[in-house]
Order: sequence, then C-alpha cells, then structure tokens
Amino acid sequence: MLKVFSMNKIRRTEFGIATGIFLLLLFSLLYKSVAYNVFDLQRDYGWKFSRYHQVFDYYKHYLFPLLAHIAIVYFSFVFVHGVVVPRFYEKQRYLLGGLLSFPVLLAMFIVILVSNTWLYGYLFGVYKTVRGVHTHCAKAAFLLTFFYVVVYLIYYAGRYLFLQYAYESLVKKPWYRQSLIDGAVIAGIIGFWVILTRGDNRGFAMMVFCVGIFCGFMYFVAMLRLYPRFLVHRSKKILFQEAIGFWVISFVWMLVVALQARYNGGGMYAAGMVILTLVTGVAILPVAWWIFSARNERASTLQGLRQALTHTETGLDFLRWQINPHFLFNALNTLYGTALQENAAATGQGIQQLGDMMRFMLHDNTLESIPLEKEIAYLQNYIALQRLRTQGTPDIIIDVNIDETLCEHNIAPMLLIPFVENAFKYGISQRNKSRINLSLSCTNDKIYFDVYNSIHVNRSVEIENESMGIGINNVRQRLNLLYPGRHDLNIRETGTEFFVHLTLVVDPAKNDVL
Amino acid sequence: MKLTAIAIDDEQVALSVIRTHAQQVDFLDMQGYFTDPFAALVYLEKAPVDLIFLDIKMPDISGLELMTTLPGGPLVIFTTAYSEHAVQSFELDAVDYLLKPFSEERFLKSCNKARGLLEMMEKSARADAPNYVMVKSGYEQYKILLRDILYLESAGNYISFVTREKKVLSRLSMQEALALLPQALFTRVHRSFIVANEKVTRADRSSLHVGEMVVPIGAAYAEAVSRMLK
Repeated sequence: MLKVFSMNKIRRTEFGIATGIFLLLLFSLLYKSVAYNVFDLQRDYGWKFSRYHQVFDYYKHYLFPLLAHIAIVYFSFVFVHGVVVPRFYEKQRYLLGGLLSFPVLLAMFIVILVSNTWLYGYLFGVYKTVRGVHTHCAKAAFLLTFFYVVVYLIYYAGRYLFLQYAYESLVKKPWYRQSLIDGAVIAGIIGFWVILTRGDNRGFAMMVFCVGIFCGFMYFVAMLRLYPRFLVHRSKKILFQEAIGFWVISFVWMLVVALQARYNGGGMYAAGMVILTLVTGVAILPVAWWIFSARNERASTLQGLRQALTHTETGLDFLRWQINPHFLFNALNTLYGTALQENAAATGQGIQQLGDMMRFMLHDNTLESIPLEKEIAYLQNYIALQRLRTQGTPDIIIDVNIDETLCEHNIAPMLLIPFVENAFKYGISQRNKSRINLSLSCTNDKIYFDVYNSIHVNRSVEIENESMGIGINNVRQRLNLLYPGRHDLNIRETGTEFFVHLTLVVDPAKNDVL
Repeated sequence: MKLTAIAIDDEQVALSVIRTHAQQVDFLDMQGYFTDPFAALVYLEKAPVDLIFLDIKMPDISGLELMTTLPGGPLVIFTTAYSEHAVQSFELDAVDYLLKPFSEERFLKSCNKARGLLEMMEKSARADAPNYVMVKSGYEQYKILLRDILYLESAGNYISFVTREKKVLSRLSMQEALALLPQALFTRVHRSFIVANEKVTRADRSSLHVGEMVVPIGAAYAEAVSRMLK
C-alpha cells in the first residue's frame, strides 16, 4: 500500500487542481460583468427570455444561478473526496459514509434545481403551469446530479487503478516529474484561454484555443530546442535569432488560422489574436526559461555527484580488487603481533589503528548511514596517527575536544572526515607554528562540529586551487542532497586561519526503547 | 571469579597477540593456545573451559563449524580478519567478535562481556535462585515467573519472552537470554528458539508443540532436544 505521506501529497495536488479550475470558472463568469456593458449581456444571454416575453436580469437569471451551480459542485467534491471517501469508504465504514453522502447529493440536487428555475426562467413562458417548469428543472437537476456522481466514480476508478498499478513505478522515473510539469503548464495555458471564452462565439473560442496551442508549441520549442542548444553554444545572439525565427514561423502559421477565422467570424478577432499571440509569446519564454534552468541545475548537481560517486566507487572497487581484505588484515595482525612481541607498543598501536581505519574505508564508508561513534572512532584513529607524525615538534599543537555523550545518532559517512583531513593537510607545517583545534558535541537532535586550523602562507595559494575545494565542495553537495534544510555549514577563511563550523540536524538518538 | 579459556587460531602470531592481551586481564586463566583445532577438541574433551577465542577462517575447519561441535558448550568469542557478514549472521551464538588487529581495550571489553554472561548463568543455576526473571523492555522492567514462560523467540536484536498471557520484547542476545534462565529447566532447540522443558506437549522429528505454537527443531540442536525429552 502507498505511504500516507504520498497519499496526502496526491490529495493536496488534486485539491489544488480542483480549486484552480473552480477559481478560473469564477473568473471567467465574473470578468464578463466587469468587461462588458450590461445591455450587451442582456442581448447575448437574454434573447430566449425576450422570445418568450419574460423579463431578463443578468444577475438573477445568469450569474448567480451559475455561481451557485459551480460552487455546490466544487464544495461537494471537496467534502466527498476530502472527508467522506478517505475517512469512511476507504476505511470500510460504508454505512456512515452512505449516511453522509446522501445529504451531499440531496443538497446538490436542490441547489441545481433551484438555480435551474432561475437560469431557465424563460420556461415560465413555455409551460402553462409553474409546476410544469419545476418538474422540468427537477428532471434536469436529477440527471445532472447523476451525471456528476458517474463522473466522480469514473474519476475515482481511474485514480485507483493508476495509484494501484502505475504510480509507484512511475514516481521514481525522472521523466514522470518532468512530463507532469510540462503537461501542467500546457494544460494551464490552454485551459486558461478556453475557460476565458466559455460560452462565447464559437469562432472566437476556436481562435483562442489555437492561441493556447501556439503557446504550448512555443513552450516545447523553448524547452526542447532553444534552451538546450543555448547550453551548448552559450551565445545570446544565436539564442535570440533562433527564438525570433521560431516565433516568426509560428506567427505566420497563426496568421493563416486568424485569416481563416475571419471568414467564420468577425475580422476584429484577427487583431485581437495578434495581440494575444504577442503577449503570450513573450510571457511563455521567460516561464519556460525559469523551469528549464531550475531543472537543469538539479540535473547537473545530480550528474556531478553521480560522477564523483562512480569515480570513488571504481577507485574503491579497484582497491578492493587489488587487495584481498582477508590477506590485508591478517598481514596487519601479523605485524601487530610482531610489534607486541618486540615490545614496540607505539608501533603496535599505530598498526592496530591503521587496521581500524582501513576497515572503515573498505566497509563502513560504503554504507548509507553509520553510527556517529564509528565516524568519531575513525577521526580519533586518524588524529592519533597524525600525532605520531608530528611527535617531537613542540610548535605543533593539536587540540581535540570530542564529547561523545549523547552522540548516539546515525549519520552518512565521510561528512566530518574531509574537514579534518584538510586541516591536517594545510594546517601543519614542520617549520612554522601550527595549530589545529577540533571540537565535536551532540544534543538530542543536533551535532555540532568545529574545526579551526592555521594556514601557512606558502600554502595559501594552493588552497585557492582545486585540491581542497573538491573535497569540501563534495561534502557541501552531499549535505545539500542528504540534509537539505537540516544543516548549517559555515566556512570562514583569512590569510592565516581557516574556520569550519557545521551543525547537523539529525533524527533523535535511538535508544533501546522499542 | 576466574574464567578458564583457550585460544584457537591457525597462525602462531595471532595467538601471541591474544597471549599478550590476556596477560593484562587478571580474571582470565588461559589454559592453552592451539594452532590445530582438532588438538583443541581433544583437549576440551578432557578439560572443558568457560571461554574459547576462536578464529573463523582456518584451513581444515571453519570456526563456525567447529563451534557447533564443541563439547561442554563453552562461550565463544570469534576472532576474524574480515568476514564480518558471516560473523554477523552467527552473532546470536557468539559472545562477541573481535576484528583483527584488535586493541587491548577491545579485547578487555569482550572478556568483560563473557564474564558478565558467565556470572549470570551461575546465578540462575544456583538452587536458591529466584523463581522469576526481570526483563527490561524499553524503559520498563517486567517480572516474569519462570513457570509462566512457554518459549523465547529471537527476532533481530530482540528476544520475545512468550507466556500464556503476554509477550515481552527485550533487547537481548540469545546468549544473554540463555544465561538468565536456569539451564535445567530450559533448552535451546533452534537458533531462534528456547523452550521451557515442561511446557512441551508434543514432539515429532522436526518440531515441538508448546501451547499453541509449533517450534521448529534446528539440526544443530537435535541432540539437546533428545536429551531434554528423555
């Protein structure tokens, strides 16, 4: 079964779309009363009334009934789809669900019935009795209610089949997300124009529909041709030329459509269409650019990470292939035993720590998450070995302050280590005074990590260069990917000093509580 | 209390590491070091010990195989270079596993764990031992009467104590659970099951009926089961 999380997400999207359609419909209804003279509207919508000698009022006989109709359908959908179905039907509480859906259907029927008696008010001039009109409207309302129920059932069945069989496999595919966004943009554009002209002159609607298609076409051209090619040639001039070229071609085509429309409808539509085309053509390109660059950035980040990963993994696999781990650790153990026999305690300890580090690199390092204590153990081994190297140089001060109480979290491996490696790589000089300060502590849901080191002037040029950047950039990327919005990485650098501060928000420590 | 122990490893140097570390552990009484596992078996027949340090990868027989044939059922600490996966699958049966090269602190930690287990076992085996066990589950302690327990089942890092009325889940290894219970009254019949001897109502070749539950018999534990049924 699907996770609750994704179900909620799907429901939210559905309600978003429903609300969008609802608002668009409202807008398309209301804008007419703003944009047009009431007398025009009387003529456009009231001619049936005058034919049957009834008084027509635009608001009473057109606007309000339709508003009521749309509103009741929208709110019924929200109530049924948001409450009745998930809380009752999907939990097998059919009786209560039935009891709740009945008043909804009844309300829908009554509202549609009443609004119909106003909307089709001219029927009072057709039928001889008031009762006849009411019967007519009741029949229509019943059919409409039934129609909405059937539409909802078909929608729900389709949705169910989609979620059950297709959703989980689709959602993981990157093209699914992309085509969802593309589809939404184009449906939005076309829907906007279509709804705007709802119920108007057919030739005009046809033409505006073509404008929608034109916009969709421009969007696709921009996404699939203009911008991808721009990434390759990087020339604004070519981009501009191409955009104009495409636009002119499609504009000529639209002009043909418009001339066609001229024969069907009024000639003034052609001019309106030209303006619409201009406006949308100019609006579509920036929107498409925005979506394209966001998508591209995401893709290139992923690409970079994937490359880095394959690189490391091939490197590691190569190492693993070269060294039989069993042989490696047995050999280290033999050396360790020999050192102990020779009473060379420091040598023995160094070998032992090296062994633990190798094991970390070969095994734990490849896992998605490890206990923080393992990462700390690695750090401590690393620092101990580095201390061996700097033994007898009093000018090198290494100050380590790790408080492991409360550090019971799991984290992704190799997030802290690169900073320490960098500190030792660039902070230690055998000739100059050097200092490394490292501190780490945890609270129930946070890890605080600070590294400070001195930089040596002759090295500072190198720091600007690649080698250091890559390690830290890699960590930065992984933090963005693995702990989005849940980390705070602060790096400050002066000519002689380097500070790193990292705060990680992690899941609360796991106790032995079930 | 002293723990008697031996170490088995095909490499002499590996044994010398254990020897060096063991000298620092005052409660450890090392009885011998064997490069030949079969010689160790012969030795154990005559003089059983509490604890064995056992290498996993040896030329003639693997430590995992050897463990199932050890007379006297001693505690085992595996020492291994790099077969973590194999060890983890057997983790429930071992006190601990040490990854070579291991430090003295790590070695001491394992020994302490073994001593703790052994002390628990002795306590539960005494005649005046209480007729209940205290089981920690989450932050709570449950008192479970020994005569109420039907069987114990392990699931991952947890063990559930099953009585007629309830199940109590506790973070224990199979070793620790066995140590909590008097050996005379409970028998391990499978890698994941311990049954209360007197609660077994029916037995066939491959399974035991305990209450409603049908508990499988593991091949390695068939002998223990037949001893219990006698």
